Formats: sequence, structure tokens, C-alpha cells
Amino acid sequence: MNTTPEAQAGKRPRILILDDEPIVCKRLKPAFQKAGFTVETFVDSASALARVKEAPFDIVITDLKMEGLDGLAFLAKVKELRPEAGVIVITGFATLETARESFRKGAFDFVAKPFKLKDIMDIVARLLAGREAS
Amino acid sequence: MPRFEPARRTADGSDLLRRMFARFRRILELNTRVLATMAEMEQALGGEYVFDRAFLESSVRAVAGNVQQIVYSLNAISGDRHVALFDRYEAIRNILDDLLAGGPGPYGAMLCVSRREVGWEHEPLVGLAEAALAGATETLGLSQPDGCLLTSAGVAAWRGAGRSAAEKALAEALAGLFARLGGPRRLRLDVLPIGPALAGARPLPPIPAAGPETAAVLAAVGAAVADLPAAGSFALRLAAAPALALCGEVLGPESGRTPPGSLTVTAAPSGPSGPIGPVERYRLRRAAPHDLIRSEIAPKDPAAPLPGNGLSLRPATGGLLRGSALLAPGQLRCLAAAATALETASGGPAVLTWGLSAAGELLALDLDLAGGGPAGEESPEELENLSASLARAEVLLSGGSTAQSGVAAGVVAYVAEDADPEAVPAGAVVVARAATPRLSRALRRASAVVTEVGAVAGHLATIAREYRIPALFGAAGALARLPEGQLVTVDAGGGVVYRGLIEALLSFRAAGQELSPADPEYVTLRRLLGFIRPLNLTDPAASEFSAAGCRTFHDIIHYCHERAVEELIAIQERHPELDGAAARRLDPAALGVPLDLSVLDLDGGVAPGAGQRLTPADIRSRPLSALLAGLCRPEAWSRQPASLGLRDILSGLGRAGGLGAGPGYAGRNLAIAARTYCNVSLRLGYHFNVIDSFLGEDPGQNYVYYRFVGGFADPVRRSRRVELIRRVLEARDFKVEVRGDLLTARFKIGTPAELSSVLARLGLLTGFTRQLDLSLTADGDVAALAAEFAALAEAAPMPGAGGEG
Repeated sequence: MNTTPEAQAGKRPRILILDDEPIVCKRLKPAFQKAGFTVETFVDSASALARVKEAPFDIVITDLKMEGLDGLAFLAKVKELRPEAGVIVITGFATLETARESFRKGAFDFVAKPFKLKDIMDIVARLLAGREAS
Repeated sequence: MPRFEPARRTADGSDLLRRMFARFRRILELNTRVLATMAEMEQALGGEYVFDRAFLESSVRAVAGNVQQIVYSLNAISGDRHVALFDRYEAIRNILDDLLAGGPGPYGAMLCVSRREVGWEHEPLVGLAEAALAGATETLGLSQPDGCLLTSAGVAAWRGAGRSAAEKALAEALAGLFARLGGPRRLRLDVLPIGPALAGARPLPPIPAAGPETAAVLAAVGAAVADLPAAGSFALRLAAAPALALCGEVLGPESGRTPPGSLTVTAAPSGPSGPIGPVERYRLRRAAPHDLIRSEIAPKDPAAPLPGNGLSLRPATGGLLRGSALLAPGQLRCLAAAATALETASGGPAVLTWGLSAAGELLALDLDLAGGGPAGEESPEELENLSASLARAEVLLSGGSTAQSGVAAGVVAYVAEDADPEAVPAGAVVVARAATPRLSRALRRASAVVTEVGAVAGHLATIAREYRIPALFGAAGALARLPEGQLVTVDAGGGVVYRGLIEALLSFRAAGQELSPADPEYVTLRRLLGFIRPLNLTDPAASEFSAAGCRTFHDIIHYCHERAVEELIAIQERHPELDGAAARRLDPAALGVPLDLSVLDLDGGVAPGAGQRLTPADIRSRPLSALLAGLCRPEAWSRQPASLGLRDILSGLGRAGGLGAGPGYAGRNLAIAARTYCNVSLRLGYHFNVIDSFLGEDPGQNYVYYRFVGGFADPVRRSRRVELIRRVLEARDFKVEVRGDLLTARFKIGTPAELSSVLARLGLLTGFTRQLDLSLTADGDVAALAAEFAALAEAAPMPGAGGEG
């Protein structure tokens, strides 16, 4: 995986990762940093939401099943606050219904855990490419 | 204990047979599922997947459920002959549940352990550093002093109500240690912190020595235990303390004592209680081959001998002068390679303490994970530097599958399959065509491995994960794109190989980029896999190949598979009612050879709509078709029967019950056939063949079993025929066993084309050898007939030679 065109041009895309399992944040953060992103990670949805209110993000990656505000509600709030942000949903409890609901609420894509790093990097690349094209 | 409905026997037995075969296929399917889940768990351990705790729970649930069904199916096939397996299944499942719940597992009660026995499975008891030392030093040219450990469970017992049990266990371990060392010795005592939470909180400096008598060691241990902090988990290590000529450390950049991209080796003359002279420092490149950057060498008396009895500035090998450095370049490289491998194995910065014995042997004395320094966050400037470095870097190769993620740099070394792995330079990036198990030893010396073909679930991948060596398999064009001698940086997780040394990427590794052995999920997954993945039962003929010998889920499924195959092989003997089963006769005229064979169709073995009299074209069973292709070659049957001697007649009479009793083995020739399976019993004259084969798409499940017994000639001639068959089959990679005139042979694992070819030759051999015992009048006939058969097999076009048969 080489760096993104934005990173090469000096503009680092911003990405927010929310998962109540710290290991997921710990794994994703360096992978996206290496690919040229500015990364912020959160393990609780309240803090993540507060940060989304403060600052814009190009991409938000969120788990679905969490204490407090769950992933679907978080997704809805993000799309309300930052409609331009592309949201990718990750979950270990994937069902057709949750996938459908995620798309209905505006998710760009839906990934079941466990997933390969390359899979999520490809989705993010697709999201950014689509945004550039539009 | 589960109970099973006894297998009902119907009038013709074919229903029973169908049920048995359905169960057998179920075992194969479940086997595949278990192996797939195991592979996914292994790949997760290697860093290929991002996973969480739920993945661990669901994987264990899936594996356990399938293993339980396999055990059930085997018992259903065998009439409950293997109910003891349920106990093993329950015991292993309980261990896995305990590990998932954060428990210590079955080693939790182990109070002491010898250093010689320590493996990764003991990591909760002895700590990450000791487990890494146990695995990584030997092949890297360092030795470890013998010793024993009071485990974390032992320390906890000592501090609580179990002190006397812990003292007793330690006294026994010391008795064993002193016996190995040749008598009581003074020991080095180290406190080992357990668990990631204690990083940076090493509580005590090592106590230099304890002993030599057992009572004195126990007193020193008692004092050390009393001084331990109340909170936290610790183990104590007692190791032989040989007289040292030199001692020192290997430090990485995270220690703050050497610049990025380098390692510093310190060395000083050693006395009984530590360094006694000025310390020398050697700075080397962190990436293999660890070139020396600079050294600080202390002034010395030129007349004083250096370690190894050399003298300063005296001629050394190659006509060079010895120099006055305490350590020679080869020793520095060895220490640097070992320290790097230990960091890789333990997943973070570490300080290696080493010693050079008076005999000139390099020793790994301790590994301090806390002393390596914290793995901090990158600054924005460092991230910018990383991005800029990667943007500039030249990608030599991309693609392939990650067997073990991680970043490493080194010089490319090609390793051929037949090469001596010891010839691989330590720290090299090994590049090979295929990820074969033969590379395992080379792998231990490598900083990374890249192959053009290979499975991330294979043996070599498991070894790479064991030592956390970055490994990229299936990278097409690796040999062409990575020239030998080229310095490269491998990012196995990203599937990229860069030209040269990408220092920013190598430094980034230390920031916890990869799944680390200190991560709780990694620790749990590694422990779980320890009771799922290893295969200890490999030889079905060994006495420990039993239900009680199953120590992992892999053992159980392998055992069940072997036993299920045995049930099928013996199916016609154990179920005589099959003789009346509704089988259809193969028309001898259509076969072209004088063979009377009936076929019982289980499931897709015969074409739908075929009549009562079958032709070879009606056979849809892949293994049976392949076998018949060889068996029905007229040239294999063309040899004229040899003349009988009086001894042959008397010998044959003794076993057949008289000439009038007909063939020695009664019953008809029967082939039980399914689309992917056949079991053929052939009574050809006075010998009896059984051929049992599964031939599906998964090479790992394919096998051919062959059994041959009997004959009419005297024992010497019969043994010559067995010898002939043994030679032919061993040349085709069968594993052959011979007992008297009983020969059994197994061929396992092969593509459908390979199996077809093997079966066709087996058919040819069966026809060829049917009366040969009578021809084998001299030992020399064996070689002549083996050559004749080879020529016959060569001349006969066989299925599988040009693809699927």
C-alpha cells in the first residue's frame, strides 16, 4: 500500500475511527497513518460525537454494537452534523437487516469483522475516488 | 456420556453402507470447516485480519461445534468404538473456555518448570521475555544457561497458603538442575514481571547469585519473594551462572542510548559479579547485515590476551590483524541478529543482556522488555517524513498474501529447496520459489521471507507466525524482481517490497503498528491456538495414536479421519451381510479381462439408468474408473501362469483347506462405489486385495489404501512377490508396511490427477502380480519383474498423466 495522492500533495485526509474494542483502533490507526491519513481514534461514542461536532472528517469508521449511543444512532448523528463525511460501518454481528439499515441511514459501505486491512483500505480508496470524481 | 443408536442392519446391508458413507463424507466436510476456521485464526494471529474479542469467541464456538460433530459421526460409523474421544473433546473445550474467560489454562497449577521445557504455552507463567528467549536464541548462535523457574503460580503459592508445596516443587526442580549441571552450583536469580501492565516497572535488580546448596537457594528465593511488590504477577528464574570472560548489552534506539536506525552493543571484561573493566561500545546498523558504523574501543595492554586467547594486532584469519576490540565482527553481527529476532518475537523494544563464557560461547542471559523504552506515538513531523519516504520509495514488488505481518529490511538471499539452510546469512530476506516446509530452518535465520507460491495456512506460515518473521507468500515474480544481494525493505502486512532501506518505515514498526504479543487479544488467540492447532498425533501405527493421546482439536479430527478411513477399509469384513447387497455385475466381456467384479452403487458411483449388467462406461466413480483403467489392461493379464512345484501345492493346500476347496479367500469380488470413493475387495486366485480410495477435489483429503495378502506358492516365493510390490509402491511414494505376506500401503494427499494416475498403476500392478509368486523362483527375479512392470507402466497410457483421469 503506497500513500494516497492527497498525502503526496501535502493534504492529509482526516479519518475518525470509533470502536469500543481498543484493539480495532490500535490496528487501524497505524495502517491509515502509513497510508497518509490523519487519524483520530475513540472507544466511546459520546467522545467521538463531541469531536465530530468540533471538527470535520473526510471519513468516519464506526462499530455498530456499542454501549450508550450505538453505531446506527452515531451514524445518523454524523450524517446530520457532517453530511459530507463518508461513513463506513464495521461490525462483528453482521446481519442483512443491520446492513440494510446502515445503508438507509447513509453509510457508504458495511464491513463484517474480522476483515483484512486491505479490504477496508480499498473501501476508503473507493470512497475518496468517488468524492474526487463528483 | 452420549449414547448412540446401534447401526441397524438391513437385509442387504446397502442401507447401512449408505449411512456409513454419508457419515464419512460428513466427517470430511466438517474436517474442512475446522481446518478453514483454524487457518482463519492463524491468519488473524499473523496480522492479516483485524479482529476483536467476539471473533475469538465465535471461532472457538465454530471449531468446537464441528469437532464435536466429527466425534459423534465417527462413533456412529464405528458402533461407539471411540466414546473416549468425548472425554478428550470436553477436556479441551473446557481449557478453551477457561482461556477465553482470562483463566490460566491447564498450566495454571504448574509451580515450577525447567528452562529446557519452556515454550510459548508457558508464557502466562514465565512472562513474554522468557518465552521469547526460549524460542529464539538457539538457531541464532546464542545459548541459554540451563535453569529452572518458579512460575507466577509458584510465586503466588509461595506468597499465600501454598508455600510448602512451592518450596517442595522448587527443591525437586533444583535437584534435577543440579543433576544436569553435575552438582550444586551458584545460580543467577532474576525476577520476571508478567503481563503488559508491568512494562517499565521492573521491581528489583537481579540478585547476582544464590546457592550453591538447595537450602541456600530456597532461602534466597524466599527473600526475593518477600521483597516483591504486593501487586502484580512475577516469576523467578534461577539459571546457571558460568564464569564469563565478557558481558554486555544490546540496545535499540527506543532505549534513548543509540540513534534511530542503529543498535549499540556494549562489552566489558567480566568478573564474578559483573563488569570489571572499561566498557566498549559498537554501533551497528539495525538492518541486517548489521554493518558496523563506529566503535569505541578501550586502550589495552598489548600483551594481555583478548577473549578467545588472541592478542591485539596479531595476524588473524585472512591475513588481517586481530585488532584490539573485545568482540570480533562476527560476534557483533550474531548479537545484533539475535537482539533483532528477540524484539520481533516479543513484539517491542527490548534490551538483551549477553555474556561470553570462558570457553568462547555467546550466551543470552536476560531480555528486558521494559528497559527497551516506550513505544510512543509518532509526531506529526515523523508522520510527514514517513509519507514523504514512502512516496519516494521504489516499489520492487507488490501483491501476495500476508502469512505474518511486519516490516523488516535485509539483503535478498535466494534459497533453493535443496540448499543448506545454515548457509543463509543471518538477517537475510529469504526469497524462494515455494513456501515449503524445508525452508523452516532457513526462516529462523531470516529477517523476512518472500515466496512466489505458498499457502498462508501451510506449515512454513505457522513457523513464520511462531517467530513473528514478516512473511509474504504467493508474490508472483519475486525471484525476477528481487535480485540476490539487493538490500530491500519488506512490508509484509502491506504486501510491498521496497528497494533499499526505508528507515522511516522500519522505525514506524516500533510504534505498535502490528498486532503485538503484548495485546490481550493476541495473547488469548495464541493460547487458544495452542490447544487447537498443533498436530501431535501423526503416526497411526504409534502406540500414542489413541483417544487418550489427543491433546488438541487438530489431534482429534486427524484421529477421527484415520479411524473413519479404517472403518471403510474394513467395511466388507465387518459387514458380511454386504455380500447379499444389491450389487450389479460388470460384464467381463466389456472389461476385456477375465475379472468377475460386482459393483454396489452408493451415491453417484454408477451412471443413472445403467442396467443390471454394467460396462466400464457406466462407472461414474472417479477412483474406481481410474483403478479399472489400469486393472483392465489386457497386457497386465497376458503372462502365462507358471508351473507349480510340489512344495507350492503342499503350501497352498495347507492354507486353502484342499485343492477342492477353491480359492483361499471365499466371497465375490465387490466394488463399493460412490462418485468420489471406492472400496474394492478382489480375490484373485489365492491372494486377497483391498483397495480403498477417496478422490475428491481437496488434495488434503485424498488417499489410496492398498492391502495385499496371500498367494499359492511357498513362503519364499510369496515373500518375493511382496518385495516386488513393495518396491513398485515405494517408488510411487506409498508408505509401505510388510508383515509376513501381508502388505499394507498408503498414499496420502494428492491432486485428483495424481490420485488417478496412482490408482491406474495400482490396478495395473494388481493384474500384473496376480499369480507372480509362482514365477519368482529366484531373488533376482524381483528386480527383473520390477523392471518389466516399470516398462509396462511406461508403455501404457494412464489417466492423470495429461490431466484429470
